[in-house]
Amino acid sequence: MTKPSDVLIDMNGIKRSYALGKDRHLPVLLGLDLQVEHGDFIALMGPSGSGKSTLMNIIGCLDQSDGGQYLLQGRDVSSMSDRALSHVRGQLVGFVFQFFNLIPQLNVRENVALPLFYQGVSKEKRERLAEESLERVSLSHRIDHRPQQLSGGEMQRAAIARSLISKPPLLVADEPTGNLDSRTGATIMELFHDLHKEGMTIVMVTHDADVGKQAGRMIHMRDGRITP
Amino acid sequence: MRNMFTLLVMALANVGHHKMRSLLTMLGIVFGVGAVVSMLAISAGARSEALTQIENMGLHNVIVRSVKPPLVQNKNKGDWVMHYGLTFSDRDHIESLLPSIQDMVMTRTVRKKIWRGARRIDADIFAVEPGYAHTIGLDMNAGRFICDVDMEQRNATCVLGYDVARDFFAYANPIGEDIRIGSEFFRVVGVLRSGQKDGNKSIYIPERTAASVFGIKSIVRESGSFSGTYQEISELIIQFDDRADVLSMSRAVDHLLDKRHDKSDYEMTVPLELLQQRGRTQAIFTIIMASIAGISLLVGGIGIMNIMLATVLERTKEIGIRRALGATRSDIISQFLVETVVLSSLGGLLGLAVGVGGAKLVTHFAEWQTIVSPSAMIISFGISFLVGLVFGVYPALRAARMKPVDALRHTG
Ligand SMILES: Nc1ncnc2c1ncn2[C@@H]1O[C@H](COP(=O)(O)OP(=O)(O)OP(=O)(O)O)[C@@H](O)[C@H]1O
Ligand SMILES: [Mg+2]
Repeated sequence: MTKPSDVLIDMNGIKRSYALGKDRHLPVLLGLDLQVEHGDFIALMGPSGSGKSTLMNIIGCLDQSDGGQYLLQGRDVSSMSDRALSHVRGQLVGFVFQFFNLIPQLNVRENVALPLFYQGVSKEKRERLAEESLERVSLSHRIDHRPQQLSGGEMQRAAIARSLISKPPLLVADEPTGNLDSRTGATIMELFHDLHKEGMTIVMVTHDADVGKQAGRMIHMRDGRITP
Repeated sequence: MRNMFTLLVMALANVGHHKMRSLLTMLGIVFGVGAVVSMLAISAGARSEALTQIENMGLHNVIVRSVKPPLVQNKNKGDWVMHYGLTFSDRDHIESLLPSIQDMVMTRTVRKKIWRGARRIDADIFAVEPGYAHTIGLDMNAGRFICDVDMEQRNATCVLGYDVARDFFAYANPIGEDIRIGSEFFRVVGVLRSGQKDGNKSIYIPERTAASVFGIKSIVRESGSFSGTYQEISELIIQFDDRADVLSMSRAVDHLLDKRHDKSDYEMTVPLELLQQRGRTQAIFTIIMASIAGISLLVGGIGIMNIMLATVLERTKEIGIRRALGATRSDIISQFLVETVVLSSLGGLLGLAVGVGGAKLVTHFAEWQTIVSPSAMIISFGISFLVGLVFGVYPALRAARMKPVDALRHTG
């Protein structure tokens, strides 16, 4: 048994089903247990439709379970208000998406600094931290570009810089290399490894077994449960 | 609301990003506010013009005019002179019976042709008493008005309205020159200042002089046949003192005259009464205008709301991203509310320009006086701001209501 303070994610009996019209529900997560410790690097794998994204959304506090208990860093997020959940997302979770999800009207610097805007950080500090974060992912030369002017790998690096800017303890990545060619994907994975070495906890969904093997721990999902 | 300034900058950037769409969105507000501003300007102008006119008549005055009665029956058959209107005896009667009369002046219209050498001009000739200029408030440009001596000695003197003096004498000095009225020569002793009520195109002569040289009957030849009128007083201006209740005094005058006249051959004008009526019509006008403005702003507001709803839908993904990065519902509400208010306020500013321009055009082409008051401008801008606030609420709520996962999954 690990000491409770080492546990970052503690899920017990998490359930989630989707409403399909009147009185019809599609159960996706059927009472799932998951413990993740600080500093873990987890690859979540499983067939399409097995509920990986559904689980990731709950882990990242974008969505709430309809049953079970989820403690994130000791805080019960399954019963939090929308407002409190927003603050948890802003401060404890960094997101990396398959399709980057940068805002096209904003340039790279503004995109990266956006999480700090919602934490009420001053403009000067936001810009300084954005520059630092972009330096970390070697993208300083694209700081004033629009997302549309970047390559796929560059967009994903900008998205990673954005996810790091509030120094969250947890990085949630749903198929971060799924939309990149294998060489670019490899550089992104390298970046994840570096972050992991620096102590970042990462939960990542991937379809690629090779990519999954690089992670510290592989978790397989099938039919709404984690298979041993 | 944190970072208001950044929200404003973001909103302005978004508006600037879709210039054409933003402009079309604002159009309703632009014309709504434009209509409000120019209508306010027109009504303020009309009001001030009417007020000046009414006040020029004198708020302490009651004006009684002789009018031709519907059917005149002559005393003797074959007498082609019509007798009607106010008489000297009416005047004396009013003067002896009514208190608090400060001043009372009369005019009689004299129908004669006016000549200077071989040149003839058209002007109204009024036989007046010396107090007339003072009571009416006519100012002199040069020379003097008709005086008591003129009256007593029945001097053939006259005072010219500004335009008349210009017509006859151009830039030469008319004082001391003679003009001919009918068959009599009158010496010019004064010229009125320009822009004085009805005085510009008038000529004033001493009443007694007029009575003795022209008589009181005036005979006009119209297409071969003669018609004559006998009218002692054409217009009587009764000025009451400051403490008098002008409205009840005017009723008393009417009562006195009514007993002495068996036909309706006079009419009364009470400027104070006009002023009060004016206030009532103004109130109705204002209500109608406010409704029109309200409807056009409602339409403008609905237009903005419509586009903002489309914008929210189009930017669902962006909303999802912002929510994932820590934006609360109120952050999203602020963002879209600020954007709607920026749109509507910009529309309001443009509308202000359109309204001021419209008022200028009306002044230029219709020659109506218009007044764009600062308060009207502030009110219209404030209204456009409020429209944005009110009609921005629903789209902003729609944006905030979406669940972060659903918003993020949105494609398009
Ligand atoms: N909003 C939703 N409404 C209804 N059904 C949904 C919704 N989201 C997901 N599902 C269903 O839930 C199941 C799990 O979906 P989920 O996206 O979690 O799968 P996944 O493991 O991420 O698959 P993939 O590898 O293809 O991304 C699927 O059958 C999907 O159709
Ligand atoms: Mg998925």
